[in-house]
Amino acid sequence: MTVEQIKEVLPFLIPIIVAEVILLAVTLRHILTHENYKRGNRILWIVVTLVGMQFWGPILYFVFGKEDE
Amino acid sequence: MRQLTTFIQKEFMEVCRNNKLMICTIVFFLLGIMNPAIAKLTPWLFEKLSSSYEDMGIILTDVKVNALTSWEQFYKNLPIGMVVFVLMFSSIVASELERGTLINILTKGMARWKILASKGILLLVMWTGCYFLTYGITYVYNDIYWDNAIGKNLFFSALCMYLLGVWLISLILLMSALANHGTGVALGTSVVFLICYLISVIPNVEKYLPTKLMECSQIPFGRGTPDDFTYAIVIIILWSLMDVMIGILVFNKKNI
Repeated sequence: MTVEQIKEVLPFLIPIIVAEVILLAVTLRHILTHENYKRGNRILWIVVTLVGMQFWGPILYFVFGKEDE
Repeated sequence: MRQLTTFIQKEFMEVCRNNKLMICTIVFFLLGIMNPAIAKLTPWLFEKLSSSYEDMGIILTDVKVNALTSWEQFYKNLPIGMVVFVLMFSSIVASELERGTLINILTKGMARWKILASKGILLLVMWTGCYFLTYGITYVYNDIYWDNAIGKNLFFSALCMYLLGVWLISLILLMSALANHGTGVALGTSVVFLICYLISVIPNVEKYLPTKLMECSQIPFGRGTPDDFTYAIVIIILWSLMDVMIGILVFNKKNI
């Protein structure tokens, strides 16, 4: 990709990266600050979140992993 | 009325605190921005692929991208949003049943229908917000990079998909009254959807089914007119109302 092409997609790229980083940060913070989960353990959920970091990982964690408070 | 508004307030506080509001917003934001991004990247992808295709004897000419490419992506990505939405909110009533938090409120004299109503209103507001966030982002980007004017009845076709979401919400409410676990609710909702999808294979029945509304993605391309969807729209609205009413009747008798 040339610099020109990269410049062209920046208006898309920046918001996507920002949104995904926020989602990832919130999820990882939630995993690390909680001891107990509905299913699975801490390592499993960190791996799931990182593998599916586009958005499936965090969603799976919040639906199936997060304990009801 | 006061009970209802208080309970709705409580529901909104809950989605804010358990991060569901934030996740939904981010996911639908991503879905919205992905459509024009993919459309924008298509020519570049084809350029990359063309060299490998040339070895196979296939020659790719210039790929034309316009607002319709992006709208096509919009309708391809929306089902992902719907799946996420159903998964996230399938346990909205069931989790309270499992924890037994409703018993206290009900013994204090709260009418049961108000519980389902407040949950329904929350889901409706969330879906409306999320859906039109995606639609708005795609629309604005498309307008800046290309021209939305080439798409016919853009808002109408988007509205059809929105109605499909409303129907799914009514199914979630009905299943919440029938099932005791979140998994059961998600499963029941998807089974009803699947059955409708399978029945739509029959040619004459197809136009009456809610799943017909998925074909609205073809309207911007000029294939099909809004009139084709009249039956499906009327039926989906009646079906949604019926779901909610049956849901309330069942929930009134439910053993909590």
